Amino acid sequence: MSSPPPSASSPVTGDLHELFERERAPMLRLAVLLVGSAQVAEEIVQDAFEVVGQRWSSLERPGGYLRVCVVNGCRMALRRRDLERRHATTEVEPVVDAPDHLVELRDALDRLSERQRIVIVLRYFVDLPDDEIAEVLGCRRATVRSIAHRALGVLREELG
Amino acid sequence: MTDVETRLRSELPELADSLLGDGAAPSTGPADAGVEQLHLGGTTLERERGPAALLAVACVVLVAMVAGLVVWRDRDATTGDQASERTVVEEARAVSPRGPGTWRTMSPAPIAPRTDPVAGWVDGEVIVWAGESETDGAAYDPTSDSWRSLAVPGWTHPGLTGATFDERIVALAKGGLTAVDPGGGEWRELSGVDGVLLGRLVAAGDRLFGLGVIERPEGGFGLSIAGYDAVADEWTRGADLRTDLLVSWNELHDLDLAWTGQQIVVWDADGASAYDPALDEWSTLAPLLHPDGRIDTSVAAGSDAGLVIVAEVVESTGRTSYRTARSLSDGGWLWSPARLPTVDLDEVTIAPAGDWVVMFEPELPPVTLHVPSGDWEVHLDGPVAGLEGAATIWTGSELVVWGGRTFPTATVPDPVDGATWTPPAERSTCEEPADATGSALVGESFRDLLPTGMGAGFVVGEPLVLPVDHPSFETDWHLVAAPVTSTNGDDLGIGAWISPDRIAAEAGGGRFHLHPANELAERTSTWEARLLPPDLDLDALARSCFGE
Repeated sequence: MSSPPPSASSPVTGDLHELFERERAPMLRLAVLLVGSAQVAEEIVQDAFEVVGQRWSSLERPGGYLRVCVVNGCRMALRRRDLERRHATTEVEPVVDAPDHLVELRDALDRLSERQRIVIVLRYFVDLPDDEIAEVLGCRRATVRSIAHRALGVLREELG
Repeated sequence: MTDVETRLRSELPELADSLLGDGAAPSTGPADAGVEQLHLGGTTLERERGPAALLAVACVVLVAMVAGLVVWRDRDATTGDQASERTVVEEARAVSPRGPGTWRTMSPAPIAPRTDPVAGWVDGEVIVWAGESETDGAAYDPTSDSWRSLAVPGWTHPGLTGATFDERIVALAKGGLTAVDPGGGEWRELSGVDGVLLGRLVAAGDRLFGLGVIERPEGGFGLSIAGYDAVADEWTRGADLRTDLLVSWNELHDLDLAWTGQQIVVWDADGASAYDPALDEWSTLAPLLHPDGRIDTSVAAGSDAGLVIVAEVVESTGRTSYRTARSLSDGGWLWSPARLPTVDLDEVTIAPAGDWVVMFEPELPPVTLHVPSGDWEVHLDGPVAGLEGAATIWTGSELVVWGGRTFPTATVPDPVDGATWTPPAERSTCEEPADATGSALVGESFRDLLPTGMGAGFVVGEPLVLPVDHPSFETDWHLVAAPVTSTNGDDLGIGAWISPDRIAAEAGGGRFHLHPANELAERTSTWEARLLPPDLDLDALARSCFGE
C-alpha cells in the first residue's frame, strides 16, 4: 500500500496530506471502477497525487484537479490495455472473487468504450452532473448525454 | 430512472469494494471536489492524440488509394416484414476521383463563435442564433460573403433547441415554444400540442414537425409527432410511435433525427423508425447488420441520396472500424467499403450536403462522403478542422460551417469562424452522353484486365467490350462489362472503363459516370474496377449509354 507523497511538514504539504487522507479512498474506488484492477488503480492514484503535489501552489481547486488527473491516468491505462489486448494471442480473464451479479456488472462495463465507461462511473458512482463530466472529459454537455445514452443502451443489452 | 440506472447506483460502490479487495479503504463515498479548470491532463492527452490520429488518417487514405478497387457484392438478400433486410457490401473503395470540392473561408461574424447554435436557411441567408451560453445571433449572406447582426431579443430556457421555419426562428425548450422574425420584433409564443411534451423540432422540406413524449396509460413514455400549420398556428398530431427508446424527456435529445426527403427517421442504436408525413405512418427500418462483425454504435443523417449511417463495427478479428451505409429504396442497406478515419461517433457531426455528407470531428480534418457512390475524401488542407458542435447549413449549392470549437493541437490549424464547402461538380452520366457512340464487341481476355489477385475466387463470364467515342476521352477507351460469379455462388457483375494504359470505373447508384481522361492522368498506375449488382442488365446499360 502506498504512502502520502510528501511529508506534512509545512502548511502546503499539510493541506496536501489532508487531501490525501480525505480523497485517496474515493479516488481509488473511482479508478478501480474505470480500469478494473486494484494494482493499476493504486499506481494511477499515486501518480495523480504526485502531480497535484508538484502543482499545489497554482491550483485553485486541488480536489477537482486531482479527479481530472485520476480520470486521465485511467484513460491512458485503458488505452494501453486496449493495445495489449489487440496484440495478445489469448485473452486472459481477470479473476474476481465476487458474487455473480458483480461479475456480470464488471463484464458489462468491460463492453463499454473508454469514454462510455468514464461517463457511466462519473455519473452513477461519483454522481457528477453532466456539465462537470463534460469539463472532466473536455467535451460538450450534449456529448456527455449522447455518450451516456449509448452506454446505457449497451448496458441494458448486457444486463437485461 | 431505469432499472439499469438503479442497478448502477446501487452496485457500483459494491463492485469498487470488491475489486479493491482487502486494499479497499472504507467506503467514504465519492469526493465532492468540484472541477478544476486547468484540464491539464486532458489537454496533454489530446495533443498527444492529434498527430497520431492524423497519421492514421493518412495511412487510411494511402491504403485506400493503393487498393483502388471497387466491388459490390449482393448477399443475404432476404426480405423482412416491413422492410427489406438486404445487405449489400462494397469493398475496397478508392479515394474519390471527383476531387475535393472547394473550400472558402467566411468573413468574420459580428458575434462570437459558439457551439450548438440554432441554425437554418432563411430567405437566402444563413441564420445562426443562441447556442451554449449565448443569446445573440447573426445572418450570413453567402453570395456577398457578408454578415449582419440580428435584432433578436434573448430567450433562454434550459434545453433550448430550435429550427428555422416560415422565415422565422422557432425556439423550443421545456419552458415553452416561441418564434421570432430574424429581422426583429418580439418573441411570439406558439401553441403547444395537447398531451405531448415537445422536445425536438425537425424542418422537413417546407414543413415543420415537432417530436415529443407522451405518457402511456400503461406507464412509461412513447413518442409522438405533430405537424405545424403556421397560418392557423396549430399543430396537427400525427400517429404515435410505440417505442421502448424513451425513458424520459431528456432522452429525446439523444436520438438522431434525419429528414431523407420522404421520411423523418428517428435513429437509435437500439432500433430505428421512420415517419412518412404523406401517409401519417411509422415504419420500422430493417436492422442494420454488417457481415464483418457487430455494430457497437451508429449515428444517422439525411441526404438527398437517402439515409446515411456511420457505424462503429467491431469486426470478428477484434478490429474496430468505422463504416458508412446508406438506405436502399427497397429498405435494405448498402455498405461502403471505406473504413472512415473517424474515431469517436459520440462527437462526430454529420452534415448533409445534397448528395454528400460532411463529417466533422474533434482533432481530425473533415471527411466528405459522396453518398451514392461511397467515394470519400479527407480534407487535410481545408480551412476548418477538428470542429465540434458547429452549425452546418446546406444552402442547396454549398455547405456553410460556422462556429463550434476545436481542441488546439499542433496539427489542427488556428480555427476560423467559419467556412463554406462546395462539392465537386457531378460528372456526366450514362443517362446524359448524347454525343457518345459505340457498338458492342465481344471477345478479348477480360481476366487479363483484372489486377493481381482479383481473379482469384471469381469466375468471369464473357465480357462485353464497347469502344467509346466521346469527346471527353483523349485516347481509345472501352467500356468492359462482364458477368462474374464468385466461387461461393454470389452472382456479380463487373464493369470498367479501360484504355491502353488506364482503367477506371465509376458506378454509383446504378449509374455509370464518364471520367474525362485528364482527371485520371495521375491514376495511370491504378486499376479501378467495380463489381455491379447482379440484377444489372449489362446489354441494356450499354445500349442506354452508347446506343446501337
